[in-house]
Amino acid sequence: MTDVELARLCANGDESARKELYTRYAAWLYALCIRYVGDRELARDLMHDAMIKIFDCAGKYQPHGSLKSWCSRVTVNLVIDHLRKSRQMDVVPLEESVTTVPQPDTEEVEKIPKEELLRMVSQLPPTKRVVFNLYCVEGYSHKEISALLNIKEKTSSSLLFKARAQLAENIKEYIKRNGL
Amino acid sequence: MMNDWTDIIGEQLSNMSGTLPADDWKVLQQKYSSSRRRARRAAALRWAGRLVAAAAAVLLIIFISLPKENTPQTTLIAEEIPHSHVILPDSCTLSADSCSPAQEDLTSLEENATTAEPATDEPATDEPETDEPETDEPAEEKLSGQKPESADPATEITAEPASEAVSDAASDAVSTVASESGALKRQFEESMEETANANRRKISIGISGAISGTMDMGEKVDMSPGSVTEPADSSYHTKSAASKYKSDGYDHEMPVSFGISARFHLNDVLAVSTGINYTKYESKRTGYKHDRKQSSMQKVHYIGIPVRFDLILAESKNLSLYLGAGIQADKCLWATAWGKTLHEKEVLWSATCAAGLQVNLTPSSSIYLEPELSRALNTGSLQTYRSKENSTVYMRTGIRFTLK
Repeated sequence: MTDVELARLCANGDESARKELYTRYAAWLYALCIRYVGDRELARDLMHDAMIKIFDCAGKYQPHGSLKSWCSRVTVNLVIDHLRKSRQMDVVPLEESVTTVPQPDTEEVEKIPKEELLRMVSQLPPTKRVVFNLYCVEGYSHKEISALLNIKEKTSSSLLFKARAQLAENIKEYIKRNGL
Repeated sequence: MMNDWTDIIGEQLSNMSGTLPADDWKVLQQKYSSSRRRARRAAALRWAGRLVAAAAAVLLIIFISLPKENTPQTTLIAEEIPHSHVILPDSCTLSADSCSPAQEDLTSLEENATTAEPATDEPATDEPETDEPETDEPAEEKLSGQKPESADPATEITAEPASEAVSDAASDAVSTVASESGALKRQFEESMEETANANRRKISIGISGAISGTMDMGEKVDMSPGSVTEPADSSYHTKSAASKYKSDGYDHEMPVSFGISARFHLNDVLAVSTGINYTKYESKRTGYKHDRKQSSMQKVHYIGIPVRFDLILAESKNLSLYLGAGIQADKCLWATAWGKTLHEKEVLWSATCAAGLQVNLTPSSSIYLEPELSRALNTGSLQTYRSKENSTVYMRTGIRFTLK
């Protein structure tokens, strides 16, 4: 079944089409939510909310991109709204100094399991975590991130820089602890 | 992309999937069903509000443009003011030097005035019995030394009183009409007083039902554990505080209410109403038993006594518009959850205000629509819809019977 057909059937209330949509993307959206909020129970609830919204708004899907990326955008917007309402999106002041940490090698990072990488990203402070996910995982530009989060582009760059520095430090510690 | 190592992280995380429990699809289906129900209810309330507002506006326009009807208390008594045709009694006495009849004659006339066939316009031809008239005879005699040539004194006297009798009769008629209209006026005032008293004594009995809505249509989940009067079974425990989002969850349904009421009119614009209201609160509760998620329906039944003062803004034969404000006291009759009885000892108070539109179907029965805003003044120990939503809108509708 193509993305367009699946979306159309979901918009018409077809229960089997909704089950198909759930089977295709629910687990992936769940991992996406964990990346943004850190807590698994909360991530599951947000994933359910996102699926409900996707079922209701399936008629608005346009075949410009894939259905998966459309579902991803719906979920990311919902998660960011939740973080904003729960006041977790506190912007870090630019004056905060960052200790320079040597950047890890790609070979070192490739040795680290996905779950560990997920845990490291989840443990970042909320605003840095969101900017890192939007830039490095979803592929948003700083301009798009600034529009989405209502911050300046310079602030977005600064937050990404700090997130990378903290991740680099965590990766170095993990490698040192596990002898990789 | 900036750096390779973050690209690797991005690539690995973007393709990663989580592991969901086996019953996750069922849970999602239940959540979806309840969200659809909430959305439908919210949409229905919004539409009901719009329809009520539109209907009220249309009825108000119709009411204002309707011609005023004669209400019983303003209808004049449709009795013709009688034509008082005076029949001079035989005993009527007149005095030549006076155009007004003697007092005893006037009284006699009042007593004998009738609305029977009009008397003919006969001049007063009855020869009045007169006493010795007072004339200027002595003076004339004095002047001329003779008795003036005059007709029979009786005749002379008769000619003049005849015209006087007509004017006297006319004045008699006027005074009689005045006295009779005074009597009519007294009767009219008494009937108005009686009608006003009837309005004051008007009592109405009503039966109503209500659906409720909330001032905030968003999903409400109780975030606070442990503040509930829990049953003694310790196997149902709340999840540890490590989960920041949700421990013992509540999914509150909107309450429904039924009641009977009695309304007493204090005067034409003010009425007081009281009665008995039954309200039911249902909530779906989730908890953990032996680390397994369980759910149960909490049902709480309240009985309440409202007291409200209504100000009647406009009233016609068919419609009535009013505003009301008052308070209500609710007492929990019984409550159950997890198969056990819960206890709520506190009396719950709330302040209410309402706008009402009553349409009279017959002189003694009517239907009414009352959007009502209820503000909880205290919440009690049980977690219900009321404890989460301080303000609840009820759309109350019912039938009212007027006892006179």
